[in-house]
Amino acid sequence: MVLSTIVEPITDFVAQEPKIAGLIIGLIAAAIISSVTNVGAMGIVWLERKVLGDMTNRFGPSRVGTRWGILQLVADAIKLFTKEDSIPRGADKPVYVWAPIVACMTTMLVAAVLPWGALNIGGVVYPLVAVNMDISAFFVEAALSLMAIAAFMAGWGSNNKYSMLGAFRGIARMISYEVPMGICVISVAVMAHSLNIVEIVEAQSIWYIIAQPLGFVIFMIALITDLGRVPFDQSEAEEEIIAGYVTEYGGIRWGLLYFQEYITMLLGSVLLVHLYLGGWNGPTIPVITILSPMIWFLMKVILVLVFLIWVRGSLIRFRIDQVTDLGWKWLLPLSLVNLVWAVAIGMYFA
Amino acid sequence: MELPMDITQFYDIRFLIELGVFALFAVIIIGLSILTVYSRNIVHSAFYLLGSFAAVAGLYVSLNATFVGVAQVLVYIGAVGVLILFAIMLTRRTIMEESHG
Repeated sequence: MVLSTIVEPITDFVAQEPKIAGLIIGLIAAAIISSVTNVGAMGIVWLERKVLGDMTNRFGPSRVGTRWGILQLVADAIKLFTKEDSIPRGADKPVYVWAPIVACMTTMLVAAVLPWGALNIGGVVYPLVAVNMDISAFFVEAALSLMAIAAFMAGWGSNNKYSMLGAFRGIARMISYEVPMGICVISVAVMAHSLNIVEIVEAQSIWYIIAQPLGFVIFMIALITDLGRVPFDQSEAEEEIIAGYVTEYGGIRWGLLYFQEYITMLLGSVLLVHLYLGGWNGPTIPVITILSPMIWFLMKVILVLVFLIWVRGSLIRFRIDQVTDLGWKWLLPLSLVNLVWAVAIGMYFA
Repeated sequence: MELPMDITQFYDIRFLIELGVFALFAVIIIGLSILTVYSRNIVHSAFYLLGSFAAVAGLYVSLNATFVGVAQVLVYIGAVGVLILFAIMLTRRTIMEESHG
């Protein structure tokens, strides 16, 4: 009774003014997505500290907050916000200032087209996606390729040779791994007959990790490289080049660049889950039917995140020439093999 | 000459919005292209060029050619732009002043 008094005026308004309603819904979706990605990234930072602490026989954050150091992140964020915002003398000022903004823009572009789980209402699964594009997988690839430009802007604008070396390594790494990553996305699209991520997930009656195991491995390696995490973090190798392209940044600008890395980690895990691990597909959980796809989705995403942290805790850094060798001499040919495999399997079962 | 009081009786309002969006992108493209040519700093030139590529992508999207727009971003900003920046980075010593660090 109470619900209908709230719902009816809204549905009337949507019927009368579809364009204005679309605009309002878009703005609400943008707000929700930016908060979901940022809160998710905070959760990842906490998770990473805790899991890495366990792996190296430490406690990780344990004091701030009621338990397990949950408020450590809030304390860190307040510290970053209140720090002095300094721009180095001799820096290329507009480029230096715009670099973190461009970095955040690319992550938000990706976040807009990714489905963030799904709800099962009355037997029909509704994906939660802000912009349901026909070519969302292609759009994600295009937006991820902009990350290299943000890295260059940060490295160049700082006017510091260590920053420049970091940007140099970062761009070399990103462009050599974007090609195999793109070919893996194409293989998935060939098998699913669609570039729309929602349709790719719906097409996965068999998860593509089983249909294309090679593609999964290549995509995972390319993803870790694109994120710039150990063993592929040459762009911020602290023993050689201090902190790479974030060397000259401080305060909230550094915070933005750092947070953008973790948001990209979240987006990459979500993309991996959608492309290879069947997204929100999974057996329906009886009591909480509505939330059951959401729970499967979150479980898979957290599994991928813990795997990424595990890799970081276990491996050591490669040299930059080894990384580019691996990208061009091994992953690119193997991803082409995977494309042929995907086309053949797709033809056979179609 | 007297302007018509209500311009919408001669033109459809959607046509006017399209015209406005096109004019906006056109001005951005032309302005950034001029800045690309006349900028004294080669890195700033490259960034202005990337900006004009992005505006061209926006123009495609406003013409309902989303795929071409996204392909423009991937090919021209993601690949050609990064290639230009990479080439500039290799010529650093001659154009960068008083590096500290």
